[in-house]
Amino acid sequence: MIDGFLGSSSLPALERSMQFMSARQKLLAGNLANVETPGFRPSDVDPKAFQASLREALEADSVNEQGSLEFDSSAPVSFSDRGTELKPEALGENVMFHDGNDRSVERLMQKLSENAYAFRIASQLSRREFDLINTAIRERP
Amino acid sequence: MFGVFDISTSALVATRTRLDAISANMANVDVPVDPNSKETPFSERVVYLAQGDPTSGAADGVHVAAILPRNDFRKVKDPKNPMADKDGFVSYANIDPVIQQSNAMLASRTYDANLAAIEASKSMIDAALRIIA
Repeated sequence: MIDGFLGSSSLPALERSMQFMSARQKLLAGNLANVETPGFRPSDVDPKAFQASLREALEADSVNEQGSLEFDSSAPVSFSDRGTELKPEALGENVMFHDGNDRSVERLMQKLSENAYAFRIASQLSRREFDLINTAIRERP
Repeated sequence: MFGVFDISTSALVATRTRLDAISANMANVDVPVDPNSKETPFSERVVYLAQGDPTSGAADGVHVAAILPRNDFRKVKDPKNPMADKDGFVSYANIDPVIQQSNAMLASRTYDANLAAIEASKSMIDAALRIIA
């Protein structure tokens, strides 16, 4: 990113949020796909833990040479050129079935739609941010 | 993430558990109790709900506190039945299919109502998103 131009807005935080949410969406979709798999334990990354790490990174203002936010190693997610890597934790709640699978489709669907909403909010906010820059470039609204 | 979904989802889970129990009751309505079996005979399962959802931490949600057997049996005179006791009575779980049906309808409506609540919450978020977009 162009330092001081795009990097000083809310775009770095939105970028990391969207990366996190699309990786989490993949994880949640995998949980849903395996809802009938015996012995499968769904896993998830707590979005609150991500948000806490995001706040730490924002407060520390740790930006790399590309202008992207850098997270420390305690974060539940790591970003690199190879992509976004989550550190998921297995969910062990509500063990009611003999095959060890916790099939709670409702909770899975809730997480999926919440995650999709959070992604939409972040993407619309960043579109807004780019609209502002566009306006500045064109010098007219 | 959004607290309002935690509440509605906890109700969905609790209602589905209730419907599961009702299905089991309906399925076992005509199953006689085997007097020679060492297993606990099936009796009507009643799901007890309680406030608060420990799974998501939503204080306004709901959770299943207990699923308890009612241990109520009715005896039918049927001496030729191989399940009959020495006095010629066969025991069945005392399950009233009419009550089970109405409970099933109630549970199904509750599920629908909570789904509608989720849809309403989603359209509220959509409306909020239109402010910025």
